Amino acid sequence: MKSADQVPDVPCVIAGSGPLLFLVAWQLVQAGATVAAVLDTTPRENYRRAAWHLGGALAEAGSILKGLRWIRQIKQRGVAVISGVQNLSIQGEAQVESVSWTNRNNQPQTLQCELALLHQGVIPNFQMARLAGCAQRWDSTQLCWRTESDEWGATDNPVIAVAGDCGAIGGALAAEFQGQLVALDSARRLGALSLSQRDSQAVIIRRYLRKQNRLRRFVDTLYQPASWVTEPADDTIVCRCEEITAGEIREVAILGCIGANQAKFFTRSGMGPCQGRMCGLTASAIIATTTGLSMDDVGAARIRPPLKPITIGDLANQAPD
Amino acid sequence: MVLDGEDTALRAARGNAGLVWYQFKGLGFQPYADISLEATKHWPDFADELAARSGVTLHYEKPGGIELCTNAAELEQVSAELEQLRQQAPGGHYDSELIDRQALQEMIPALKLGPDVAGAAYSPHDGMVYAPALLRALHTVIQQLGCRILPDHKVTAIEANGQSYVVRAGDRKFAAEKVVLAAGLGLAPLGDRLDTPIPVTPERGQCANPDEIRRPGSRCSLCDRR
Repeated sequence: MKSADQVPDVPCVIAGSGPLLFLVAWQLVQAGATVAAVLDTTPRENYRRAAWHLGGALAEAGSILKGLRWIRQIKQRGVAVISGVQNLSIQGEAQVESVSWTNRNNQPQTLQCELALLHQGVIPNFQMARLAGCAQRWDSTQLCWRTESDEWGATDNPVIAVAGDCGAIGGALAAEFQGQLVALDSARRLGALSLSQRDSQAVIIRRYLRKQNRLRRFVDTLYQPASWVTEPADDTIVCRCEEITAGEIREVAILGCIGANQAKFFTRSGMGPCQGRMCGLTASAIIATTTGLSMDDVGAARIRPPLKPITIGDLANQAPD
Repeated sequence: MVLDGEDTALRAARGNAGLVWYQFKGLGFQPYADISLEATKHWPDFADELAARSGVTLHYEKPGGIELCTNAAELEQVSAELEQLRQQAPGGHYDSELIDRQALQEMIPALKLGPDVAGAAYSPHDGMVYAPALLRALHTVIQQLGCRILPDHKVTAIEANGQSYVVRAGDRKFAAEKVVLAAGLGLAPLGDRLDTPIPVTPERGQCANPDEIRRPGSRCSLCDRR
């Protein structure tokens, strides 16, 4: 929709969890697409856990109300909104024919459709910082790698600071404020601002950022993906490029494959065109659970340039050093 | 017992695994040439046994292999090296031959040769195996045979102790009568500790694997020499 200006011309089902699920449904309906249903996989217990952070999130009540308005509006346009969805699967031979799931009462359900769109939240663009060697650690709430940085975005590399999705998911507004803090500190480092000038200019930015972060805790807790998504059943394909299943990753973890880099050697998981951007976290999570190691011990596969796809022609035309 | 390194250890041998190769190995050192040829002859049986014991399909094939010469100078060099290998071999026989551009193109019809490709060396002994499957099969069978594999046990010291050795991996110590060093690029520091210089150094390279070569119609495996 965003980059290619394309809208599905067949009835579709949107399944997954996260605030963007309803935004996409709303946008698709606005653009004239037929959305048969939104299947919400948000685990029930997440609502209870997220309730603890509701007080803080109310500071940003506008965002929550916006979300509720999307849901109301798509329902008015005939979209079925079904929550408590588990064990989602898609059926079809040459193309999607239906989606199936189990409902709150563990009853199997099926819905005919020609297109299934999946979403389980977003993860940071951690590759650049990792390639540069910046310290990263596992975020057990967002279930992703985040680049370690101080309150000015400064990493353990003296010339690299991160803001927005390069560091951690904080939302578009938070990214803007973080960028401003990085800019202030960079100006201080370059001698254009004194320490006290930097700090005084940062006060108002931090206030906005704090409000965003309170909302973030609520959103992160509510929309943490279910474990059947992050560590799927054995027959689920984890690495789409090389068609490697969760079961194969478990098998090699038992054989002695204890890290994300070796998983590539053992299975080719993460060696396809996406270079592990789709499957990397899942593969690491499966290895961690199977071996009993922590995510920080299992780690992520080394980042191999190029960071963005390039043509073989670009590669061939590179002048040798 | 196998003491294996950490996840991020340099594992060039794994990156380069998959070819079961004879051609041009042991130039200037005949025992290496002999053992390479011997290995390619045993490989079909070895692959069968590994597959039977592990249940892993290895996709081992022995279609012969080619060493591409992408220009006339390379062809000349390959020709000279073949001659040297023939001379160093007992009986003056070396089982690889030069083929011209046309014969090469017929061998790999799916891969259209560039204008400068001059020819290739071909040997019927060379073949390939699906490297990830080989790794899985070896790990399975090694452990079936009663050997323990300890991952994330980077060897930090080896001490000779009379007739035996003590191998240290961090805080842990292992006593052994025999120690086989199979650490690839990790050999240099281990050799230093045993006062046996092993001068191996990592070299960064790029590997582009043309998928076309694996399509039906190709009658040989392909190796980039360096």
